[in-house]
Amino acid sequence: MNNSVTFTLCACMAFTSVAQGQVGPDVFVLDNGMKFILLPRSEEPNNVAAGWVAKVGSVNERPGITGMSHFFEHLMFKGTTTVGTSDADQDAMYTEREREIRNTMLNIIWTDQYDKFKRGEIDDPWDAKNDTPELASLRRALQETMEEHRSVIVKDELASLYQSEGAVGLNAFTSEDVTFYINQLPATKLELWCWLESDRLSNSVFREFFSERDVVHEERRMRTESSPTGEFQEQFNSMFWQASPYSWPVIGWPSDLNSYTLEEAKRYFDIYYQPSNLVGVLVGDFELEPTKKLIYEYFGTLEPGTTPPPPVPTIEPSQKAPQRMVAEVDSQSEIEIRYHGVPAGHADGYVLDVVAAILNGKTGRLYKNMVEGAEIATNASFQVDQKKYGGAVSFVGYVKGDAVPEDLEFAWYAQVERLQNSLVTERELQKVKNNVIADQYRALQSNFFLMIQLGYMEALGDWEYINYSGDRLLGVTAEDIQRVANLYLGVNNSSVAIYNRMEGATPVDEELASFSPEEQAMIKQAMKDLKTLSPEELFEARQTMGMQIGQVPPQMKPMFEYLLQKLNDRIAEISSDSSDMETPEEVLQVEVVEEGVQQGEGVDEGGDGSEQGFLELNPQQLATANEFLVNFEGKNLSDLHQINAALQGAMTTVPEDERIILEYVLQKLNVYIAELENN
Amino acid sequence: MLLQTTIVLLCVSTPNHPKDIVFPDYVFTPPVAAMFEETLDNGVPVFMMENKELPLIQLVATFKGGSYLETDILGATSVMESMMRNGGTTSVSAEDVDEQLAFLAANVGVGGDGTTITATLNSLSANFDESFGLFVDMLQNPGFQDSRLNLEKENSIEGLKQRNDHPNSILGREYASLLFGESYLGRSVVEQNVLDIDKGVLVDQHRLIVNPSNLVLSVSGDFDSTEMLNRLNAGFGAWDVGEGVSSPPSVQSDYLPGIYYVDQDVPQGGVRIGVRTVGRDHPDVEAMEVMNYILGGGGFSSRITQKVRSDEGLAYSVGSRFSAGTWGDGMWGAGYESKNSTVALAAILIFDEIERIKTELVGEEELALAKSALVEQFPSVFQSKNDTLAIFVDDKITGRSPEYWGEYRDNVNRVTAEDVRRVANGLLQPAEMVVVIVGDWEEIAAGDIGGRATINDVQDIVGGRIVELPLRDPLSLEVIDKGAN
Repeated sequence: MNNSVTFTLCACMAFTSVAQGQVGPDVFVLDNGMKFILLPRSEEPNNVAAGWVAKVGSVNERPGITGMSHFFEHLMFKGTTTVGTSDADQDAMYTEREREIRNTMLNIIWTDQYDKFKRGEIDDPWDAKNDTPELASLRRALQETMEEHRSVIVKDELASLYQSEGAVGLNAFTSEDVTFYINQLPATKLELWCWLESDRLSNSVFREFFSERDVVHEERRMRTESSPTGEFQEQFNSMFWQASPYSWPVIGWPSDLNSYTLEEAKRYFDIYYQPSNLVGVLVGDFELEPTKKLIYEYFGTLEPGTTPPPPVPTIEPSQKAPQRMVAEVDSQSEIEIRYHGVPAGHADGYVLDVVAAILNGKTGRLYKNMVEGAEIATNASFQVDQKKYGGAVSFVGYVKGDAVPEDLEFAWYAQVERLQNSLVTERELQKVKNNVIADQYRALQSNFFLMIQLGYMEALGDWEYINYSGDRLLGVTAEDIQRVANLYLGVNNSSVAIYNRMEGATPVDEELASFSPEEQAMIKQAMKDLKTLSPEELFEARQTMGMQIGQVPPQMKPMFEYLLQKLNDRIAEISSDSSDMETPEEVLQVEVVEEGVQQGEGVDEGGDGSEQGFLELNPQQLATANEFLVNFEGKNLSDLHQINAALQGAMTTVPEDERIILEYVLQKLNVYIAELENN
Repeated sequence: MLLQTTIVLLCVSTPNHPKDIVFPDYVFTPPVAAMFEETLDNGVPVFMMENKELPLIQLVATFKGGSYLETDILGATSVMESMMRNGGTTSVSAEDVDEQLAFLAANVGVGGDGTTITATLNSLSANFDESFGLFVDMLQNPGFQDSRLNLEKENSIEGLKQRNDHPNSILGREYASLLFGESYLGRSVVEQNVLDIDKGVLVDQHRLIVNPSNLVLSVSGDFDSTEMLNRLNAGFGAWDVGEGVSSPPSVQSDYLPGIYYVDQDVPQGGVRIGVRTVGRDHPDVEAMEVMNYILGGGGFSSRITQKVRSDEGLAYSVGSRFSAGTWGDGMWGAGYESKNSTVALAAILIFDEIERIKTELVGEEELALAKSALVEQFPSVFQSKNDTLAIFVDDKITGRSPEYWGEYRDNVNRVTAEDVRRVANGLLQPAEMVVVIVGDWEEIAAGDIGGRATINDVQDIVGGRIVELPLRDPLSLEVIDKGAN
């Protein structure tokens, strides 16, 4: 195995604009301030990946309009004065009427309905079921107007125009920092893109404002509320960011989603969609000069803005103490430990990327240690998130088997200490660097992916990041890694989210949930120990526990019985694991008996058993039962009651084939007790 | 270069409407597989496309065979795929294979889709020979190392445990099971299957599928074709040819139409409405594609999406999908998720659209849009060399006629409004459909606050019974006793 793999590239290789893992696009700025990045690439014939990015995301919002950037992304598909309507004047009239009705509704909701909500008189100020008669009639009027409006709407014409010319992948996405509008289309149809995109940047009318808001509510329900961890992750994120606008979700809080007004949307558009805040990107099979001409013709006509977008001045204060959230979720238990990191472009970002590469992957430290070694995780990774104004790094792990998130937590802290206290090996570092080089080429393989990278990096600061990041990554040293591990991975900089699978999915789990948290912890510890016992040790343990059961203090008894039952389960599990062995252990499986079925009334009412007739035992069983029964003779009543209770308790834990004996003994005992009491 | 581009952008003043733009001509001819095909000494077909833009090589080995061949132990193929990647070879330990590949910066993956197994190597051309050597060894002599097999089985079971965590995965499982029953398209792996897998099972499955008789190779990137052919011959040429597998069976089992639901405490109901369709050789396949495009397959410009999403705001993601089966029946299905109270309303709107496309002729403009979209988007299927090679390989394995791609656009252009109505009537009978819903049943059954639709209205259309599907234990898929919850 060659330890010093080098990748010298033949100088004669005919690379065009993506030579040496570098790109050399044509970059220019129109008079109105809109920037363009054009990268011709002929590898995918007649295909162009086309997009433009607005440097706006949820970080630019404020409480009350959270989610506006994302909602806006939806509105931008709703057409313009030309596209999407058969009658622009009528269309505008309807939009205005809808706006008026909606604003009247909002004024009532924000005052009267919110007041009632604050007083606890209604559960939700927005829910139609709590409408006053006036609100209900306004809601009807809005609905009717929207329905009439449809007579002049040409549904989703933007999409139809693109699709009929062979475009695939018309879409958009919104993040904390950017809103990106993307498409892929035949190079011969580039003028269509110029036409439609410049049109929606100057003549958008935000039609179907209200039905689209309902669509976003459904999107929120799908992405966040129907996901078992969705709303918890929102809470954790809000806890992590103390001051930064990154604390609210990109999709927005539900109440804010309801509160958007058309006026606010227009203000937002004027500020954040002015040309100087936009970047267009084309990658694909086009000729540079004719394309530039088209861009000047179409995008050159956009009106420049009047005032630049306001800055985002808030700097996240440094965290002073560790934070912790513990949630119960309906999914696999997991853990995230998140630390404040650095924004995009920060020198330490490259080092953190290399740390991630050393920890991640099949040969990375986390897999080796947690997935393969200790077998406490099904998956463990270290993630670096660099946003425009701040960043975070996270350890995320999903627990396996009987492990708990805290096991992963401690395993992670051990990994952190290792990074902080000793240098990574030369081979680990070299392996990462070999992959840096290969991945840099891989990132240049598709028009679409290149377009996204160029636009995204430019919106965060500089498209050239994709050219110089390779060298910066290759320059990272083992000492750098040790330094950043000490700088960023400290406990006071950490926030821990523990997600425990909600108990109750199976009867066994529900039983466990009935114990106090302390008892649950004790049980879980004991269960872990159980796993390490050999079959012989398990049988021995069962015997010991069976003998002790009568002496256990009453308050500990349920836990004791639960463990005994688990022990039996484990024995059964081991037996069924080794399928080639026909062992008697097969029949030792315990059927869990519902509490109260075998005990309770039976004990209190004494001799009921005598009326039911005795169970039929085979001679061997009868012999065993009689051994028991001999011991009862001569005992006083109080002792017999105690024995009775102990046997009742043991009933749930003995193997099935032994239970019949115990039942028989109990029947006899009850008759005996009843006789004594009657005397 | 087979494909030729002539882009002439004329300088004219900008048109008033996008429909007035005059586009330059571009003639696209689909590439012909035979022109890129070679054969190894032992008969294995190879498709090659050079691409010197970047110093990378991608080699894909595709084997016919998959989970459809499983009889006793479901999931054995999928574990075998994983273990070919993760279990080392007979002479190199799993850990060493991983370490060497990682150090070479080579990406290797092995996966499958039920009917084929695909192993992919993406390597720098500078060290291709080394990573190729490991790749060949992994395919021919998998080690199925015990420690890794245990890990794989345990992690598979962890994966099974999570099958009820998201309502969507319950929905997908029940839907497939209702439409395709116990066939390989409908059945699901249970814990006992995984427990039953041992090295012997994997060796058998490997011997059955992973041999040159079932293999088609494709390679693209920075190489010289003649040299590459020599390398491939050196790597695979001496491999014992073995026996070819049978083709996947067509699914014949009956299914019971009706409304089925799983009661789950979630804020949104997930819905699939579906029916089995036809095989891909059916003469009406293109007409069915056009019909589905108009009905719900054409994204924002389709009727179902416009009605349910744009008009009513009832769903974020809504539409329909049509597929013609490669080895048997395909599937038509509509799907959406909506807040519980409007699940029934959205279903009614979809059935209204189904009824409309069966009774009224589609408009000329709408038909033209659908046909134009399918024809104009057609070249994107062959966008990259890797996309093109994947089509060649698939056609080779499934025996699709080489004429198919050449004739496709003409076949679409020939579809008439009458064809659309005719195939809609043939395919879309609500009384033959399966409706599966996962959500809060009490709210779903009651319907929307405006009283526009309840689940009974849906039942009136579909007919049949409303059947509750009890939640299944994620590991055993046995019914969970509700009382125990």
